[in-house]
Amino acid sequence: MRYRWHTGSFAWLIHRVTGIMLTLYIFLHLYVLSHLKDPVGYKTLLSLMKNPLVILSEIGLLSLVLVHALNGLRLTLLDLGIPTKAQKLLFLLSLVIGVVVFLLGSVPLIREVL
Amino acid sequence: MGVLAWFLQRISGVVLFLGLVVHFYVMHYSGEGQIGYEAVMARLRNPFWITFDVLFLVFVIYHGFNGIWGIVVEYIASSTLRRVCHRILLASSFILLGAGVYIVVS
Repeated sequence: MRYRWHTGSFAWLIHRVTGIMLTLYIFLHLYVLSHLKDPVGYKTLLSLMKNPLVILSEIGLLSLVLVHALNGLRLTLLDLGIPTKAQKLLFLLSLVIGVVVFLLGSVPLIREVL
Repeated sequence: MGVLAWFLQRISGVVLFLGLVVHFYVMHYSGEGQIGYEAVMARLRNPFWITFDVLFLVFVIYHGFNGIWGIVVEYIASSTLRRVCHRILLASSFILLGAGVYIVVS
């Protein structure tokens, strides 16, 4: 299948790639959580969360989630029949929300390693 | 993707959006003690959080694997290969669901 490359089809591609990555993350997340019940293993996990590499990947995860969730919400609103005239405003709005939540989420994470 | 799958993908997406806000808030913003061992174990004994976790899990697995199935349908033409993918996706979802429910209720 071929696409004509407009902004919209680019958004679709990003949505798919981030969606696949987030689905694969469920495996990792549940694997980590399977060590939850053992108090010693839990402490080890928590201390691992201070590792700069882990923090970096958590910031990456936050960006994946934000891009996927906000774009998904945008798609749903368009499906619901939001006028196409509002598209630019919608994009701008999700960009602003995305950046604000990204900063709110990643600044405390970065502070943990500083 | 059929109309129902498309519709359920939107519904589950909106539910996940709201669930994720709660999940992130509880895990990262409700105070340092909230991700300590005792607090986590207390939540896992609480019927509200058990229900929340299991529902969240069901929605996220459905949404993720339904989404990947949509991609498979769009890019893979061979019906044999599609069937193989369908089985792998279905098996993965049930393994994840089983593992997740086991973690929450055990």
